[in-house]
Amino acid sequence: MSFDEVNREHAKQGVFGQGRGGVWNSNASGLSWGDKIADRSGAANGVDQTGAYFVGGITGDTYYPITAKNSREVYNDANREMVFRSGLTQNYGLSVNYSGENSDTFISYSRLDQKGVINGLSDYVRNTFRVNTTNNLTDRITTRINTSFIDIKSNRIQTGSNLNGLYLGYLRTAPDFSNEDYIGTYYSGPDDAVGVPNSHRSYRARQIGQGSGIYNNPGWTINEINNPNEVMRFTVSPKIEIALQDNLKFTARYGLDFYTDRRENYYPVKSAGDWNGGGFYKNDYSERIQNLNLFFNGQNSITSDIDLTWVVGYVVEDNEYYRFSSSTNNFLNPDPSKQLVGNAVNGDILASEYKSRDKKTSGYYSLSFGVFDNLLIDLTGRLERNTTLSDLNFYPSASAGYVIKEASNTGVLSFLKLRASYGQVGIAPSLYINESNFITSTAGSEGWGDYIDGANYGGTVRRSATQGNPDLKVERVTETEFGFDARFFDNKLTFGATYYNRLTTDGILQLETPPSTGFTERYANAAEISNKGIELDFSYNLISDTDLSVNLFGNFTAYKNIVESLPDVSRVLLNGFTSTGSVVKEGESFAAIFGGAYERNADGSIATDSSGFPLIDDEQQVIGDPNPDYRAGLGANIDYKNFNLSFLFETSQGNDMWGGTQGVLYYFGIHPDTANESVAPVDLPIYNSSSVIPAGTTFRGNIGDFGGGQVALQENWYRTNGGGFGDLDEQFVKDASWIKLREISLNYTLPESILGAIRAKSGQVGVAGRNLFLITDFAGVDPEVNLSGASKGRGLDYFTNPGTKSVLLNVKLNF
Amino acid sequence: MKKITLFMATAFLLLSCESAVEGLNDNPNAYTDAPISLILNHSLLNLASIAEAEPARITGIFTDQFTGVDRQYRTLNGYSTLSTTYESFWEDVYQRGISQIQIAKAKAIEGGNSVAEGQALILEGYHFSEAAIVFGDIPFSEVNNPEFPSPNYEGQRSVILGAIAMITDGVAKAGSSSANNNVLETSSTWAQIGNALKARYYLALGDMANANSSAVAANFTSADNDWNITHSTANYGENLFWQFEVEQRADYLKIENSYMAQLLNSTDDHTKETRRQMKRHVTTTM
Repeated sequence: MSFDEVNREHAKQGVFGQGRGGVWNSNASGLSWGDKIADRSGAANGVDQTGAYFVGGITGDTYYPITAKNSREVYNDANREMVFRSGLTQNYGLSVNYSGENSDTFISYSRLDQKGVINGLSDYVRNTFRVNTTNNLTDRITTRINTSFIDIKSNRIQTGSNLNGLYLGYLRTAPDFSNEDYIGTYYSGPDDAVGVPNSHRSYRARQIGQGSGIYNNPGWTINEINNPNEVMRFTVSPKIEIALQDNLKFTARYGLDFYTDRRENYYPVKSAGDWNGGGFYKNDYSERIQNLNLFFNGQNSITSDIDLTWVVGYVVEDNEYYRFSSSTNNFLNPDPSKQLVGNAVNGDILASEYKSRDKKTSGYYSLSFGVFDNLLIDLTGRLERNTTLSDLNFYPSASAGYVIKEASNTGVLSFLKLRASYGQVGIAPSLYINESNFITSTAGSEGWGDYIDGANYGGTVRRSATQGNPDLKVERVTETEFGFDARFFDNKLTFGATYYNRLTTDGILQLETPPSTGFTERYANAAEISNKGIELDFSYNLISDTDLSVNLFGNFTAYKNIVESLPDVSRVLLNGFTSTGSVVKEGESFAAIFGGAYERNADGSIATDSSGFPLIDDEQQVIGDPNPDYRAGLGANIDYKNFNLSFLFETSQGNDMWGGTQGVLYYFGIHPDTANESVAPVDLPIYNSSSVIPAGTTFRGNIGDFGGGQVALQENWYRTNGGGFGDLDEQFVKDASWIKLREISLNYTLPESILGAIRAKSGQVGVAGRNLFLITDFAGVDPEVNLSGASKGRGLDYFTNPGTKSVLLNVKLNF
Repeated sequence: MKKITLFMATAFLLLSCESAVEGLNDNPNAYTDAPISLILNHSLLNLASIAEAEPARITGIFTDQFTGVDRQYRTLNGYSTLSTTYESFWEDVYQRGISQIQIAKAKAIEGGNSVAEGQALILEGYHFSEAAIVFGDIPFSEVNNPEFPSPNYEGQRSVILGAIAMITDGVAKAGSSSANNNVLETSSTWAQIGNALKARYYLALGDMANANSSAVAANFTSADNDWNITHSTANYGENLFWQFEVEQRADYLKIENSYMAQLLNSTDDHTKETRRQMKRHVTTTM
């Protein structure tokens, strides 16, 4: 059982109200650049009771348009409590193992039941069944069948750069607006007897629910928008082993992994963005992955000093994928109690599908030579045929291990082994990128969300913007590795070190091309990327007595991941936005952060305009490196009688991150930094303005100096290039080094006396914590969170849902 | 050792069989060609990308038809831009516009369909001219060909003259066929549309005589001659300005404080001069 909490949050200011230019206004683009809340009279708000109004579905309160904002109430805490809760994860498992004379059967069931840290429709339930049986048919033939069935039902809250994402609406909400009554009935005036039920009330220009949200009220996002998902997965893998001779065995192994995955997104009528009329999206995915592996293995002595263990085999992998999608927009019946495909007129019901099949066949061998008991040499090779390549490709690898010392308790060094290896693997091009396609088309600049579908105009087709490439070769990764393992002081201290050098050649990337070529992207074997690094680890048995043992362990890794060559393009975007993203760029670290940068003088200082504000370079540049200088971990494992305590600290140092959320919160005037009040020491220039803030004046904002003298960083600045929608992304890239207590656990092994009483063979109770503390200078979010999740592109924070910390309780019993 | 070699030979022999994977890389989800009618229909629809989407918004902000009020547009309103600001504009003009039109044109020539060829020529002339008017020198000859990743930028005037020649050729070929179609409604013929466009582009060049004769040749007699796209309430059938301002990006784009609003509101003498300047401004820039 685990209790989860959000581990880091963005702070919000509670000093200034909604509005702009220091004046309260409920209709000002959702900004919090309004009046100072403390300066209000504190009386009840003035309201207009002559027209439209809203009756809250949660409290029953009536809301009229506010004509005079007098209340000093700040709702940041209440709005926060509406969104977050303590998550709860429960995990139960039961397994039975039965061994007969010639067979062995294992049956297990486990259930994971999770309530997420976000209120509303955030949960996850997984049921897993497994049955494994092994039978010895004769003393030479053994069969084994492993099967499993997994059913996952979950519901998630939307995230990221998305009008229907949680953080967009929640973090931007002005401090003087209560999100509580997110749903209710809108009445157009005193004579409206019926009203519009299920209306959506939100802070930005919809304070009496007069239309669909511009951003959703977070209450609407977490309670009304429904994103159910059900995955059913079935696996079966039979295997037969036949001992042909004492030193020769044949094995046939088959694996089937089949799943269906149904994902739905239901946006009720009055949701933000396209969904004023409602939208229902349903995607059914299924995938069948099969593989067949046939191999012989055996052992031979070549001479009295050389032993050979070998495997020779053939593998077929076959992967079939299918997706069917439907969308239903502008509901005929707005009732959200049923979520139906087809609840719209014809033009608003669309279907699409995608199918693919990919196969790979390969032959492989592995030869392991043992020479004089202290030298081990492995030679392997793999010859592959891929769907997307006309040629066969061969990938060799070799490794050697040499034990120099394995000895007695004499001296400091008790064991030393040297290791070296070399290997190659290949990554075949993806399916269907060999040709350019003709696709149904739209008009409009889709990056902004607005477009016209040609289906509404008799059907339109264009040649896709992606140029296919029939001549792609395999992308090769070659890795060389050296290292050693050593033990000291009678094996009390172990230490290992590895150096690796991984080189990717002919890396397949989707490159941008000038639209004047007829395409905006093409696939090419374009990149050469190197990754060199070291890995160190140690373990030290400080004390090992019967009652008390203490073991310390740790690791250290550092690498340089450089794009050695990527000609002809400014960069390739991995994840993020065209304005700021994680990219591949020649001469830079892999996944470097790229965006708008300060214009620099020859001496590296920031170039400023005549009033002292920074100039921005016309061309985007690398503005940060999300790769750490190093990562390290340090932990301990302490046993005392029946107790076990273990913990692990981890750190990552020198990694940068783009604080996209922070930049946008600056823009909105909701970030605490923007609520500072400063006194101008001299006349301070204002951005994009000929006027100044006179010396001695108190103003909302900060005093900055970019090298061209002091300037006022106030609303004008933050709402243009000083904020997240401006062109100066460099200012929001920050050091995101962190130190974490990754895990700590305390376990108690139940003594015989208790076990006897409950008739158990063994048992353990324990408590553990995960991510219990985090030290980082990066504000607002756990720097391990990333906009695009676990992807190649990284180091991006943009309204990403938060990370968690957890406390776990566990009980294990064996009968 | 012999055994190993034998097994290896067998395994590797199985691999030589190419049929195991053959044909699987033919995309079952997309066509690799399409009929000319659908591509031409796209080329027509793309006019809405130029006239209603990002190109119209950016030029509208810079010519003070609109004020960029919010988010990125507020920054743009202060004339702060990066080269990436114009990427979708360039894509709308070249990849989604001219390239598709040239594909349709090639198909028309191949099929001997001179009416379709003429229509394509007029659309091509429209895209080149509009882009040259906004950007000045632009790629013209070295387009729609991956062999030219760094195309030659040809002079604004020669591009517009080249585009006018395309339209003239298009008028001769598409001539009396109706310019009313699935996307755009009008009572005009393609010849009338082509001549009206020529009048616009001669005006941009300051060639009043040819502008006048083209306008006369266009012979627009009523508003029915306009070439209009009709929008509907179907999802993604709505006007792009409406989608942008109402559905997607509320309050980004306003006319408050714009030159246009001042012009409409004001009656003083100073504005008369402004109005004169404004006229010149609009004619050369849009």
